[in-house]
Amino acid sequence: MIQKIHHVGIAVHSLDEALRFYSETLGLPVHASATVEEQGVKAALLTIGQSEIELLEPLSPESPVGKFLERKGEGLHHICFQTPDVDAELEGLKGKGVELVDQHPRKGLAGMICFLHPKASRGVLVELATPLE
Amino acid sequence: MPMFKRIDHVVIATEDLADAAAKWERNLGLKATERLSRPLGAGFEVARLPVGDAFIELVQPLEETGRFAEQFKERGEGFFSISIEVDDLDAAMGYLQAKGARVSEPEPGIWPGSRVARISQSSAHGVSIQLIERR
Repeated sequence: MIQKIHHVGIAVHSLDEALRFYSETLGLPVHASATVEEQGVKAALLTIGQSEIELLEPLSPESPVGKFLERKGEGLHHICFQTPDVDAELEGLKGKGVELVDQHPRKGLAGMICFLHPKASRGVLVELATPLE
Repeated sequence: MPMFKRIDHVVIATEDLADAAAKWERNLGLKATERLSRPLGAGFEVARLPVGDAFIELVQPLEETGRFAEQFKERGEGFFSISIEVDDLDAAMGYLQAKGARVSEPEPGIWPGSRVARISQSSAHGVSIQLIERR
């Protein structure tokens, strides 16, 4: 069951510069920031209502977000939906033959997460997350 | 209260609305509860898929020309914009303009009772952000 939009991810060249607009201008509070080596990103999460905006700066041009920037430039990168049970959700998707990036949930910034393949949603990269308490 | 309150909706462009809606329902169980064809005379068709306190808006161009069609040709299928709710559109626009952000003139939104304006993509790091005021 999908509960809400957990966050929208935005690929940016510089986290500091993007924070100038999203945090200072829009006034959205930063509630977490981290470097996630295995995903090759430096990220900041900003609260907006019941959801978040996730700013993603690549650690290298070869990382997935680095390649996205190279190909498309800055902009919306993915959308993440919150579910109470990411394992069950993923099993259901496998059963329906939906194209996936992750065959098993893994730990991400938003909790236990998995990504669907953009092909599954006509070009939109979708993430599912169950926050860790 | 924060001025920029919440994500009201996320707009996703598609060349096949029926197929996109079917995929969103299959993948995530999100159902289209409302459809608008050529809202306010615009050359597109939209479906609204509620999720939590927000919704996904799928948009398919119906014409070769017009603002949306031009952008669709350039950008193709996928994310189009996010819409952020504000209580007072004029106040939010004045505030942003004073901060140096470029914002379009307000206009009626396609969803009844709404008024919208767009922040330029160059001000928002490549993201097309629509501000929406609901009455």
